[in-house]
Amino acid sequence: MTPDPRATQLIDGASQAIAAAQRDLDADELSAAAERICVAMLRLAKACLTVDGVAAGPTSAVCVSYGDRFARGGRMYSAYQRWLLDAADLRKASTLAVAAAVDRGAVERAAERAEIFRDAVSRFVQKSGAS
Amino acid sequence: MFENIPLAELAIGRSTVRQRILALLMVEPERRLHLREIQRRVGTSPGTASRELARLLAAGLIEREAEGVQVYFRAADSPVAAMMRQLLLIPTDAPVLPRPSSIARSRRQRGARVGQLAPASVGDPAETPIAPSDGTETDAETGDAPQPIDAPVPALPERPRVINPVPHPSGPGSAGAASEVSAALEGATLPGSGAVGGATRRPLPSPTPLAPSVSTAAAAVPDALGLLVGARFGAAIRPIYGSRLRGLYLFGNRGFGPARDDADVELLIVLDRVDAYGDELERTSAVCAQLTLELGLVVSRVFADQARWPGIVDGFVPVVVDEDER
Repeated sequence: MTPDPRATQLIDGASQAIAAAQRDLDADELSAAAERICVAMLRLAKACLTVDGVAAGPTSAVCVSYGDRFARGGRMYSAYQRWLLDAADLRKASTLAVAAAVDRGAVERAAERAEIFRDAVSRFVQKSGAS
Repeated sequence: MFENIPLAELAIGRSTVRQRILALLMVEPERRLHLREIQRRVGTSPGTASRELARLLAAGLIEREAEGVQVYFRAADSPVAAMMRQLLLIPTDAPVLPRPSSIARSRRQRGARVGQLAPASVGDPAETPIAPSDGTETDAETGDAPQPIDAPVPALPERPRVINPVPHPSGPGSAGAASEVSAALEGATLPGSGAVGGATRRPLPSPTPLAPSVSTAAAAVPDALGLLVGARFGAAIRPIYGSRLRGLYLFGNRGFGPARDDADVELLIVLDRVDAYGDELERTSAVCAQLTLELGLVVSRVFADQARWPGIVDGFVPVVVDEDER
């Protein structure tokens, strides 16, 4: 059995978003980088849900469904759900006028976590395709 | 934002959301923004932003551009828009804050206090749960070693003491709504506050008229579930921050009134100072994740620096406010 093509597509999209975020970071565009990292994390969560046959909905539904299916039961490392929510909140902070300034370290940390999450989701999708 | 608030109100109405959107687009007339970004930067709900954008569009003050499925808005390149911009005397380098700073003063004038923090007792940020380091989770997705969600979130406590959300007293129908919200919060307090019985709820402030520049949007009754979740969140992060916590506000869809069941609970945490945003995210990460799992709702938070927080802002409903902020 081969990996779910839609999940693979989502992982590829996430990889592109992470690469773009790195370029934004190099250009010191923290807000844009935070946005792309969040997009990447959401795509990866959607890839996991796709394997389970769950249709992806809006951002909040993705976060809730992912937590329900993968963090609660320990199917994936529970920190990934926290990182997903953190990435969404980092994006929100980078665009909300009243929020404190988002520092480079926060975005870099989010980018590293997105890469770790991508690798984990890739393995998960591969395994689910092999089984 | 606007140098001339009365003229702004005369020209485009008293909706401060509308004024903020217009200011946002006119401060950077060459830049186009999509709905979601406008909504975030103005600090309002998507529905309100959409409604106000439609009004500004109909008035010819802004333009709409569709690009694929994405729709962008920008200040109109018309004589009317140019005239409006000149009339409003918007300085080109003006920060786009959700509220003119003068409004913060009306907070004290109104006396519409909504809560205070108990004296700081505990809270060493060094003791807060930090997520495991990034390199420790290899192959954890196989389920072999599921990590527990750390930092237990306190269950809804018994009686209110320091949390006393009150809808704006002069809002339409606010009397019934106030009692509804109070009833919904019956049983919410911060742990360790020492409140016993029902004698600690502070009386509601007497209604006073709104200042002329305060939008009636502030009169909206906040979402009861949002306030309840905010109360729990406040109780959970208080041991983390102690006296650093200066306020906790509900905003977004639920800040403007009863929202859809699945709407996010968006919270603004005001701290004495925010030096490293990532560290604050880290400190509250487990609380957010656990509440999100438990409630089946996204509980999100944004941090603000006390020095930059303008005080009371439309759509930002106080859940917990430090007494020094009063």
